Amino acid sequence: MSTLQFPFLDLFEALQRAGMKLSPEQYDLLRQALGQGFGLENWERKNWDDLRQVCRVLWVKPSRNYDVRIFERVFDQYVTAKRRKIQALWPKAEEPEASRPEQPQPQRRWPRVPPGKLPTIEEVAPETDDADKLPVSVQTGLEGLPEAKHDSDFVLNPCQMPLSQRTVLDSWQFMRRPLREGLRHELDVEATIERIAKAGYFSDVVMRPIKSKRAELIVLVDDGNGMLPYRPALKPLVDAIEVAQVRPAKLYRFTTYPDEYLYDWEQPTQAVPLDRVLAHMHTRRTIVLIWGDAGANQLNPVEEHRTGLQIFLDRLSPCVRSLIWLNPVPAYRWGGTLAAEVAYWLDGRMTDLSVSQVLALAKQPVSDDRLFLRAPVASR
Amino acid sequence: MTLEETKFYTYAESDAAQPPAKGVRDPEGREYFPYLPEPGLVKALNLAMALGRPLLLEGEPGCGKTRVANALAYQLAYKKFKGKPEKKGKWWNFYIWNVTSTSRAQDGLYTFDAVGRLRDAQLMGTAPERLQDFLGDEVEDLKKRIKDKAEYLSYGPLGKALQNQTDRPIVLIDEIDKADSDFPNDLLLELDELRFTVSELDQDNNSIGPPTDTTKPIVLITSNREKPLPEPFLRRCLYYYVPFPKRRKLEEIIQKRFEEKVVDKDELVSLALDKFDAIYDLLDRQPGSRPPGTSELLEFLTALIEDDDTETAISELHNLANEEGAYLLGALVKTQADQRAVKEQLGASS
Repeated sequence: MSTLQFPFLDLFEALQRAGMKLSPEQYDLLRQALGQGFGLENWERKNWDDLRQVCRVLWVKPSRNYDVRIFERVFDQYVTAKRRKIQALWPKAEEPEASRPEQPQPQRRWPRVPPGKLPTIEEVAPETDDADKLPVSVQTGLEGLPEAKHDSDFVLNPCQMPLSQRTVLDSWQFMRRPLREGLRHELDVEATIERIAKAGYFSDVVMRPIKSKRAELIVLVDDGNGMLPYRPALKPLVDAIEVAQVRPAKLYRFTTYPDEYLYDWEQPTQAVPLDRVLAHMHTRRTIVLIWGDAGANQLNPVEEHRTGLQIFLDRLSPCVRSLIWLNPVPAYRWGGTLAAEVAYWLDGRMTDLSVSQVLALAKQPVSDDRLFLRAPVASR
Repeated sequence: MTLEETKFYTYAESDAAQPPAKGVRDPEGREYFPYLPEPGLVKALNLAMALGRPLLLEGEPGCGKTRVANALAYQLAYKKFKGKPEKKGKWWNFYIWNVTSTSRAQDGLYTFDAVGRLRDAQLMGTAPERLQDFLGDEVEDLKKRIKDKAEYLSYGPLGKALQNQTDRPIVLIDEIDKADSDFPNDLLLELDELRFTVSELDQDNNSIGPPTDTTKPIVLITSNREKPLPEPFLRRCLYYYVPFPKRRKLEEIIQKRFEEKVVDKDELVSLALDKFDAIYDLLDRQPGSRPPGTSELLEFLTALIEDDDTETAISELHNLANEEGAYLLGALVKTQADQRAVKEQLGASS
């Protein structure tokens, strides 16, 4: 396989390995583009920016599988490796000033590694002058790990949480999509025409319920102590409700599992009987979102929690249009805890904070029957 | 396509092929304004044209996504007819499909007036002898119409672009994210193979497209990221994120759009841009807020420049947070919460 026939195939494969879901067809697009002279405009001056731009237009999309950050990281690594290789082959070749500098080698002299920790100081830092014989820290090949260039890379703000403001609003859009409900008030022209076509003459009109967008959201938040660290991740949702971007919506608190009472969001000491909340729900309109770990942080499930949750879900499910359980603990940590059981009862309606999962759940079709719960497995 | 044809379908930033500053309208009422593209955008456009793929443009609202298509149409017409289209009276074939929340993929291809045909058939069928009384001279039209199903067919923007073309027409699918989430997926086949069938017509003449290389439409799609787009759709598109123009680009854009109106108003423009930058930075950092875009900036400047008295305009700018400048702030910041935040910030800094 010649590199001329398949140019930059190694780059393409590196991107695939890093998690971009690129198809052979997309590689072919690059070949076509190169064939028409795109991407190599300044190749003579060893400028990779045109190629980077072309590959970005072809392969990066607004989706997790075509993420721009993966692309930039892999491309940087690729260019660095290639440059190194070229330098090794032609050590005297002048490397022109690149517009995007290579990964900077550590310039700082501090902090230094204590001399005793390394076998030979001279080998590590042979070029330092006499007065400065201490070794400097050397970049090691942490391949695959993103490098944090600035301290600010470690600061998280609510916009960067897995559940972004955008996702919250998107999923609300999906959840409140219009449904046909109520009395048959609207003339269904297509069905009427079909009936005329079938019968051969006009007998009667076909009516259907009007489509309406009347969803309301009820959010039940577990505010037990174990859930405190996850609170910032809920902030986008709470904010969206507070500034009425998601509305009508209501927030309640509970601890571990909701029993007879829920607690007001603004005034946590004020109890609201669960019966009253359930009585106000509407089977075709109310969407309930539960925020809690469902016992995922506790290895030995407590029997009381299990029965409590079961009773609660049994009472809740006939009253709602759909139910989503958001569990901030990653799904791989649920195994062996109560969370795995609850996820089983809920039949896939529990998700961790993955954007695609949340959106998929928000999109789930609304059935006319009552919400389905799987029976708990008896012997556990 | 020959090499020359490939060369023809390129877009470049050029001063000659720009519409006049005040804009022109084509016979169909579309407006063309000067457009200063970013180098990356130019390349993405050229790549999409060369590969014959749809180009998906995303970016903050008001950063000029939709205007790209107009600019391209204007430039292609300029090249083809060797002169400004408004002078030559010839325009490039350019179809806009404004997607709304009720749009269906089918609408872009064709609609078939089944009810109209049913009405005609009933008119013919129930009382043919009395038709003359009802319709008078239109009877012949009716008879002709009912024999040909194609008479009830009207093509949508994409449907028109796929037939009877001499050059590569431009199709703009604007704000695709407004539609139902299935909408982009319903368009996959049509965008991929550029052909469709009209199921209402007879089998021998119901297939439209695919066009040849020389008449293949240039498809541009814009999205505001209101909804995520499905992956199979994304895979078929090239993608470019239109960034918000930098300060220098903004200055150029202002020069191009206002020309002589901003002569001797450097101080005003630079102060306005300072205020704009401050507001942009503030709202950009705030979750849930949307910073103003280029189009809002242009409105803001229009309001300032229309003021004949530069001194008053400058004093209004200084008092953006107070009563005096309130009407100006409204052009940039659209929600009450954001206005309050901006006022606090500006009030604190001045």
